[in-house]
Amino acid sequence: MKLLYTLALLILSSAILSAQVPGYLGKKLSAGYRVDVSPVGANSAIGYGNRFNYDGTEQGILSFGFIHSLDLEYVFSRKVALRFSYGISRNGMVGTIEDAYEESEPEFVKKQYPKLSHEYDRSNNDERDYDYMNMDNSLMKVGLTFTRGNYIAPHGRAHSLYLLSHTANCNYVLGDKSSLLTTITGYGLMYERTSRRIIKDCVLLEYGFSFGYLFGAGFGGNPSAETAAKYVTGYQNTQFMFQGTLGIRYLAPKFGR
Amino acid sequence: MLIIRKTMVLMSITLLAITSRAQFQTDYTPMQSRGTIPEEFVTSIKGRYQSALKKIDKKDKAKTKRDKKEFLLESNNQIDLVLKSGKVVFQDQVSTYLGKVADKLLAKEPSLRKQLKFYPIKYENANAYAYNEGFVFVQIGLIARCQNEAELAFILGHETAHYSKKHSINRHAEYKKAQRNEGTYNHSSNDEKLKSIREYSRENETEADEVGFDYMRKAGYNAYAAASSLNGLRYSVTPIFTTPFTHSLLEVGLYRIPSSYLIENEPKQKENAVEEDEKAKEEEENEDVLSTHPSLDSRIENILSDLKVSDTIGKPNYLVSKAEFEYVRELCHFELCRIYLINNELDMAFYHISTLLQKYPKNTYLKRMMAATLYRIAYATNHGQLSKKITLPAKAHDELKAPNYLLRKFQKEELNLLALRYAWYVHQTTPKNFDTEQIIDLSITEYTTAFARNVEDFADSTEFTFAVIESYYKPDTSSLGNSLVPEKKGKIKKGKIKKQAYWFDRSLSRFALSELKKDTEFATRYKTIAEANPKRKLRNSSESKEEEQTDEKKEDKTIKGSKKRLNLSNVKNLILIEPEYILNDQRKRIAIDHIANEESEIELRDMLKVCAKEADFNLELMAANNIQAKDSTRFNDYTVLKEWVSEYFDHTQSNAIATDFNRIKEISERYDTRYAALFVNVSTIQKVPGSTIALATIISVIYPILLPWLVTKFFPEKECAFVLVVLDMQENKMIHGNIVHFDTKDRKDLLKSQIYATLVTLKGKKNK
Repeated sequence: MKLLYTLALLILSSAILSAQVPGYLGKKLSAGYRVDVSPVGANSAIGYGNRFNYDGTEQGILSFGFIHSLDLEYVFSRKVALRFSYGISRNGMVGTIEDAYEESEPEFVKKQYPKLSHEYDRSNNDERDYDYMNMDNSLMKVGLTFTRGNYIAPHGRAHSLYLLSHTANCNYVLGDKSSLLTTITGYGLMYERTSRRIIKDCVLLEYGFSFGYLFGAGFGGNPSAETAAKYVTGYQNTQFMFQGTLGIRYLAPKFGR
Repeated sequence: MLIIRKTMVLMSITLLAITSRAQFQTDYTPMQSRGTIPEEFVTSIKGRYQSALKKIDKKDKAKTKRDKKEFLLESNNQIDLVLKSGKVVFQDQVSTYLGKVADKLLAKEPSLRKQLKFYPIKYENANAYAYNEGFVFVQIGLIARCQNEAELAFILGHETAHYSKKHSINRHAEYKKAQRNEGTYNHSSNDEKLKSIREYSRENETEADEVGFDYMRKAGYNAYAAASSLNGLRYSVTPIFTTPFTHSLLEVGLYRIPSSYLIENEPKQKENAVEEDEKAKEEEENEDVLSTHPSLDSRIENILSDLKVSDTIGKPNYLVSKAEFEYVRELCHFELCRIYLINNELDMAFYHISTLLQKYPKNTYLKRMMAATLYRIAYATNHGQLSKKITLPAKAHDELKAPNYLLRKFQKEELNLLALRYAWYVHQTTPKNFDTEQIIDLSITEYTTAFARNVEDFADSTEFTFAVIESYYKPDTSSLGNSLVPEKKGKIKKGKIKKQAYWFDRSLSRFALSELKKDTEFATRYKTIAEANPKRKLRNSSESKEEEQTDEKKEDKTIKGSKKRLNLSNVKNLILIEPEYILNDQRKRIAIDHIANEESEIELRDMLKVCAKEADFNLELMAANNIQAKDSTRFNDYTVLKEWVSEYFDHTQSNAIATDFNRIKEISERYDTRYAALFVNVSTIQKVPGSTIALATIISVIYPILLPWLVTKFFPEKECAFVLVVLDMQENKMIHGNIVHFDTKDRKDLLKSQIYATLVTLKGKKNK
């Protein structure tokens, strides 16, 4: 990823120094906030992904997953812009207790968090309805946005292609206690199709959809130290299957040529 | 006191006559507006429309009211287009004179006079028209054809009658009735409706004739002029003058026209002309049933039947002044030179200018106009457009037969040299002018592009005699276009260049530049331009084919090498000529809402200003309602630019010179830029037919999966296109032109984005 960022920076610096680029009224740099929404409830209904929210409440079929991102974009030709994005999301993951309460704690819990697993009295089911795993995700994206047809970046309809790096801090939650279980990192690709409208010359509204794929994904199975990574990736892929996107951006004043 | 006043009036008229004649003898300044810009030129369509609405009769039925509103909107838009066309002038001698004639004509109708505004409009034909809002526009061609003031008064009276009797709005209401099959139109076929409407229109014309006639009779004009004025309309599209064409004015220096090029040697053509005339008469008779106007014969008959002896005997043809009328008419004659050239009616321009030159041989304006006409004729010949510009003598009007015959007899090289020789003659005999200089340069470029000649190739002037020229041309026995008969055909060598050399040695072209060979100024200029011309023919008859090929390669390289970036990065000012916004929303009853479009236009201008500022251009907006009331100079600049632009786009000749080149150059210098831009935004919203929605609904009921497709059918198709064109005012050519199309409704952000990007691109655009 470092190589990717270095490459992107090189492109960006050369673009700034190169010939005229119109941008929007000369504004080429923009910073924005966006939210990607995916129907994760539907994902769980078809057997993948989570049935819990981050706080442990159960999800219905109409539940949505959200990724909140901040990004920076620079237009370096009439049709192409480079974008860096950092996003976060929080999700709950499939619990283990409801289905397998009678069985012992997963092995990795016993090994890595012996204290946590023995704090509870297993004989008292009322005190402990379930355990589950939640994730603090961070998503870094770097990609190129290609403006379609006669539109001129950053305005108009666009196709974007991103390389993404996903990091999930997985926490094992038992009742009201949680502890970091593992950190999982994955890489993937994402395609996005958006429409962008400019409001008041300095605010840009964008909306569209995206889908992506995180490599190394796997589905199903009980969580374990070995399968957690696949499980997380699998969950993430269900979220990336389809995301609606809504964002608002601030166009920085014109600088340079 | 009265005697003193009369004497002063008489003196001023005499002075006018003397000074006007003196002015025409030496020069002419094209018609220009003066003084404060009248309010109507800057009033919005909305403002004019709203005041017109107040005049709608409240007792009218709802349908009629709606029809009238529709009419008033369209009518006010038409007025706006005319007033802002750049063709209408105010407070100049012609419009002032029209006002004076109208004052005399309507002296007994003061309230009616107050409602009317009379303007000359720069068109060549004999026509005038009145709008419901009280505007009467009289074409310059009509004033130029009037024989006296009384004839002009009748025309103004006729148009006034159209206004006072509300003919145009009533005609529209009648048309709408026919459309809705109301009243007498019920159960009528389309043909019957058309005939009825035309009949209604003819009745209006007859009424206008009668009322107009009445006005002039009451005013005290010689009423016979009404009949003579109508008779004059028979010649509304023919040349104004009937003076025979004289070729000698083209014979400058050693340029002589051989006798075989004159129409006297072509008797056959006259017979054809008689046939043409007969055909035209037949057509006129046949058209009567569907014509909007009654036949001229019946109109004249109608007038004559009302004419009493007391209406003519002792009644003057002039109530304002004969001298002023003649002066104004002569102004119109001069103005027509411009108009014919702007319209690219080259044969009309050639004949009209040559006739005026017979009358005013020292007039520098006419000489410059003639140089421009000859250059355009040569240009048209070089680019294969001559037959479109110069009518065949057999089909031409009588007055044009001789000049057209001559122009068609000339060979390509002869015409090129004639244009160049004449332009140099103008250069030598008139004060320095940009357009003449430009014509000389362009003529040399055109000539050297088509022919391989150096100045040295032309014969020495000592060899010249007219007999030599005559010996080259035998009397014409063949068809038009080439009367040059080689003495010994067998001797012509193969190859285009060699043939050219053969013809050159046996044509009047040989002597065209003879006496200029020793003119250092000319020789240097010719050589410099020829050498700088990348497309010039470098070869001469002695060069081999191989050399020709090498030269072609060199030329290609030169052309490729000439691709430079336009140096617009240093350009600060850019003239923007009246941007236009057109939204055609077909879902609405009135698809093009001129008022809404006008408001959008104002927004568009602001947008353009912002974008230009961001792109580092200072935009000089040339729009009629953006000009200060007292700034008539700017208004004149605006009108010149509008005419120039319409000339450019109507008759695209990338390398031909603009008729008003001198004035364009002045504007270019005044605003410190050589570039003028045009911007048009066109948007359409399609109406979704009910049948489409019904069909889509049925299909969706059968195949519910197609429901999303059905939803899309409820949304109308929208599209928009932006056109930005940049013209180089000094070179009279388009340096940038692009059309950007979107399948969406136009929005401010989209517009701004495109405008700004285009302007930025201009600064780094490659010159093709």
